[in-house]
Amino acid sequence: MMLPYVATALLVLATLYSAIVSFSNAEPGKRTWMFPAAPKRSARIVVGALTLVLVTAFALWLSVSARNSTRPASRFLIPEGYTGWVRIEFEVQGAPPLPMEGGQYILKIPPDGKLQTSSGQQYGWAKDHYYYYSAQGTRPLPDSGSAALIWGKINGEGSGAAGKKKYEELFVGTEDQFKNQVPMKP
Amino acid sequence: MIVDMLPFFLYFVASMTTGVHVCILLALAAHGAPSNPLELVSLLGSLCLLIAAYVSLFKPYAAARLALIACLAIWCFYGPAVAKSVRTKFGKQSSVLSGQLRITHPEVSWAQATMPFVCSEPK
Repeated sequence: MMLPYVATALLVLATLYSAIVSFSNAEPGKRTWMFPAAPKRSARIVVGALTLVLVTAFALWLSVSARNSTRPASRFLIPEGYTGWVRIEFEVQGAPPLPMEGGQYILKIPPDGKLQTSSGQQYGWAKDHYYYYSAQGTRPLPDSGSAALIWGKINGEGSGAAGKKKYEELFVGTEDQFKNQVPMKP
Repeated sequence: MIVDMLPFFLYFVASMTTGVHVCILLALAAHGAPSNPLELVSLLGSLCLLIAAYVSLFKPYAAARLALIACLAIWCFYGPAVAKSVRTKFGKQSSVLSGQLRITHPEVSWAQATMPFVCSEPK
């Protein structure tokens, strides 16, 4: 990636140029390439307007791309009392797609902690929700703070004999349990 | 006319490239990469350099002073970053573990991976 090098080189040039102009005593009225006079009014208007358009377009592009980087939230339903790694495998042929409810994907984790789905993995920003479920209903699981029960959430792609696998993993348990656990085997 | 615009183009291009670069680094920080508070100082410097570019159309000398201050703010981040890159490239890294960390069991020094490591790009 060339950007850091280009940015550094331009920064060196801008620093040197501005320092020379700031600390030198040029003769008033004498124009050189180093000490140019202010451009004509028409040129100022054109360049100023073009700059404004360019900066506005850039800001718009940034805001649009930030808005497009969201995804539907996921609701993880984990069996009551489950502790350990949860693994979700995506794009698995023959597996059911993830159902949607209220604009959220529902991921009902089986008792063994492994869920396979034919749905694709979603990327972007969203606030996911975690619940324990049982015959009596659901109760929310804290996923932040000192009492958090959700840890080490990762997603990735692995290649094996069965081809590529996209997956997501997270650990359900206390912080001490998370620190003392071993990674789940795929 | 082009020569008269030299400070404008220089400050403008420098502010945009440094600003975009630091914005990318800040975006990576949102995805979990380590961030540095000096990145925000640098971003503020890029904004000041953009203002200096505009001012240079009217008052080139005042703009030069503003640009110099802006460049110094940008160097707050780029200076240490460049120094670290150079040190890393020439192999003069320092470590607090130097002389203390020893791998005594050869079997833990390396292990064959069971599957290739793949980093997937967000869509």
